[in-house]
Amino acid sequence: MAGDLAFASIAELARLLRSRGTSATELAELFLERLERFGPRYNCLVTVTPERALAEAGRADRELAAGRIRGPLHGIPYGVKDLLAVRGYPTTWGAEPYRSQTFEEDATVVTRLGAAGAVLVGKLAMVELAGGMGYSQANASFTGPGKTPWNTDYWSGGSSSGPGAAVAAGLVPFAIGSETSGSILTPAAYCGITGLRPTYGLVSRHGAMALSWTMDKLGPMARSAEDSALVLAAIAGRDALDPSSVARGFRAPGPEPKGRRRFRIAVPRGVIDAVQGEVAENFTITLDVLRAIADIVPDVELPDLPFGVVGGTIIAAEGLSAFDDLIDGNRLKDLTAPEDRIGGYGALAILARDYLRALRVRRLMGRAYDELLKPFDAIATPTRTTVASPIDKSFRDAYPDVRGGVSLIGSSNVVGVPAISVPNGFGLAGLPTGVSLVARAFDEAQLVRIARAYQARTDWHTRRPEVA
Amino acid sequence: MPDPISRREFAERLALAAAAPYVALDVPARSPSAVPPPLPTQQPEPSPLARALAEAIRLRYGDRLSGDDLKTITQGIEARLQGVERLYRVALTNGDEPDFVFSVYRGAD
Repeated sequence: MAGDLAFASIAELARLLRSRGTSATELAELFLERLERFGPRYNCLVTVTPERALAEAGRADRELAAGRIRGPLHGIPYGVKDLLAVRGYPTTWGAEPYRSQTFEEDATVVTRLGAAGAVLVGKLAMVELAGGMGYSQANASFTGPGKTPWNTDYWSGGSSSGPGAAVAAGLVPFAIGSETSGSILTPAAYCGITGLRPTYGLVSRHGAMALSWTMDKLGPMARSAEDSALVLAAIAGRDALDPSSVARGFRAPGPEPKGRRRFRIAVPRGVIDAVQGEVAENFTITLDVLRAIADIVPDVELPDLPFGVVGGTIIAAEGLSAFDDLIDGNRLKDLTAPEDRIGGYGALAILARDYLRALRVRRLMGRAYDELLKPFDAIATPTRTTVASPIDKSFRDAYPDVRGGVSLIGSSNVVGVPAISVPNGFGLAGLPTGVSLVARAFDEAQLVRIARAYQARTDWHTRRPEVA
Repeated sequence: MPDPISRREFAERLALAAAAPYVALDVPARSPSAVPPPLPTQQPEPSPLARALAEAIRLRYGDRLSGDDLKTITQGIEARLQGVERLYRVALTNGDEPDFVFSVYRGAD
């Protein structure tokens, strides 16, 4: 029973809570126990939050008993990547120099989830500084290399390594991750879960560690598209404390009306050329599944613009400024990964003119990208061109033969549009693969609809790794 | 034999690799928009500009950085400089503003 609860969907848990089949306190205790017991196995846990969890769960139980239901997350436990401020607990950013850092207030996302009745059970591991200093290996956090529950010799992905592994192993029903350029989608793919990266500005960044003020996004990591939508609905919306947040909410889409038009999904040219064999096979099969609900338009050409240079310049310049204190205080040397200890210095050579040029070019890129996406409901690609890399190898050396494919992770992050990654099979070493869908700004509901329809036709998202 | 690549592609790939500490921070194994082929095993000789920029870093932080560190940093700067060239090939007009927003502040009266 406990194992079933650990892997139940949010909707299933909510039904049990309302029917008194379980209580919020029982759920909090279950997931606290699982986090403490299994978290170290995957290096996915930084801090459990039992005092807060039991207080929130007790309140939820009283309210549920009184028939005061706040919504679908009422009484549901969750975890956050340890870059979100939580009052009363350390917020480490995965980095030794900040190991005992605390904040006096909660991040807006945590406040909103609290208002929705969700129960915070733990703060989850991450790559130090969300990877901002240039890690090139899995061992880049004071908590050690994140390990995917599917095979602990392999990485859980980064930088939201803890949320990915914790959701996959049934240590939390959902988690909040962050993405600057792949940090939700990559661990979602490597851990076999669903990750939804919202449009830039849809979710407040207040109280989250800044790596790139103009590219950071927070979003749900969960068991399914349906669960991700429920979480996004609770955290989206304008926040006066984050000037980049927008006055748009998000509603989880209801059931599809009968006779709904078919989706149109584009596939970039060369998308599976020279990617890992199983990744290509799984993607091809995924498209076959999607053909039941969508017209697939192959060989779409992406805009010929320097997305990589723009993203690299913006993140490097903003990241350097965000961590001025580490450079000034000579504390980069205390980071875990040797490459992170010198990674910030090169960015000192970025000229203001180049940074501004990148910001100006990005505006054109946004228009070009929107034109590309406009005729379609989404563009599909494999989330990653390989399965997770072994934890004892540098990323560069993990799969030297795999040098092809097309990833939209970087370009779609540069222009800030939303994406979702869902599991679509398994590959080398029993490791999961994922498919990503990218849509126009604020079209998260469309992504959820497509992903939900895919998950209604497959069972990859219900598979469980061996945990006990 | 690997496919031949254009000079522009070569520069972009080098830049991506150099930007890897940042761009790839979250996508460590691959580049953002397209996956680069293996980098040339031989690093290009850093340009005088890259050396000068690295020298400025050495002057300020040289006491913290080893010779190997400075070499790595210099190569990273060189690769970044090559990539940045592409930014200037995108045509912009005077009216193309940076896409950040400044809003004037007025506190409570």
